[in-house]
Amino acid sequence: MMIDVASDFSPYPAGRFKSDGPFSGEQFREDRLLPALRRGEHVTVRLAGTKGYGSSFLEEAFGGLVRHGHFSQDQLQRHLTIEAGAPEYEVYKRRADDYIRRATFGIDARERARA
Amino acid sequence: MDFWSVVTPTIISTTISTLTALHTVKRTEWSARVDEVTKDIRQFSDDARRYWAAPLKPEEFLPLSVTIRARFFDINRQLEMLEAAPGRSFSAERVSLLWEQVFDVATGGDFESPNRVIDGQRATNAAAMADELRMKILDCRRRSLRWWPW
Repeated sequence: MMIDVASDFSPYPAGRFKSDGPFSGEQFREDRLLPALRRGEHVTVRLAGTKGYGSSFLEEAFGGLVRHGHFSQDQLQRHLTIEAGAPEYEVYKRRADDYIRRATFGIDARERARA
Repeated sequence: MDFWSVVTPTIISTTISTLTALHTVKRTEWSARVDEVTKDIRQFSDDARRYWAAPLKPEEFLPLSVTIRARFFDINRQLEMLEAAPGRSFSAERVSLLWEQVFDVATGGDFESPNRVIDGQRATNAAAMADELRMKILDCRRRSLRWWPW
């Protein structure tokens, strides 16, 4: 299954939590990513087409899958592909992959950043 | 004196001077692009510092977050273009790791949240990393503009 962030979610994704606004990382994870991954399908997320991302959005959407205990890194490696979709989005793809790799179950990313 | 003994040196010297002129124009143009990107990184850094350290109201810091994101996107494209410029040894690889760290710091935490909390440490880190990045890019230019290969 392909999720194109710009057309299936919003061309203006922003913020970490739902309380931050209507198209946050948390909302993307809860409403788009998790339902698709829970169906057991292989999910490809295409990042191109939006007006960019903040690291808060990407970390919450992708790193949050591991931090909140929904999936392990190994499971995501098998079932989730993040695709840049255009050269200028490669940096976001690398960051999203990195947030998944570095995420630890139960540890809040912002607390780790403050430490 | 035959025809070719006059024409051949003229052709050679014209070709050399044309190539040198073209090369110089390309160097100048490329150098101007580097100047532009370092200036934009400075702006990005100033905006990030203001976003995280200034006592702004939501109606001030939320538009600033959009500017920061747009600047990041723009600078990213400029770095790709610098890397793609033919005949230059600038490599975005050399700066990408630091650039990604700047991104993590400047747009992490509760970035874009209407409940943003002032974070002086994040502001300082973003500015310091952006400065380091500018120095690295300028160093890439210095080495790339050498006429000699070492």
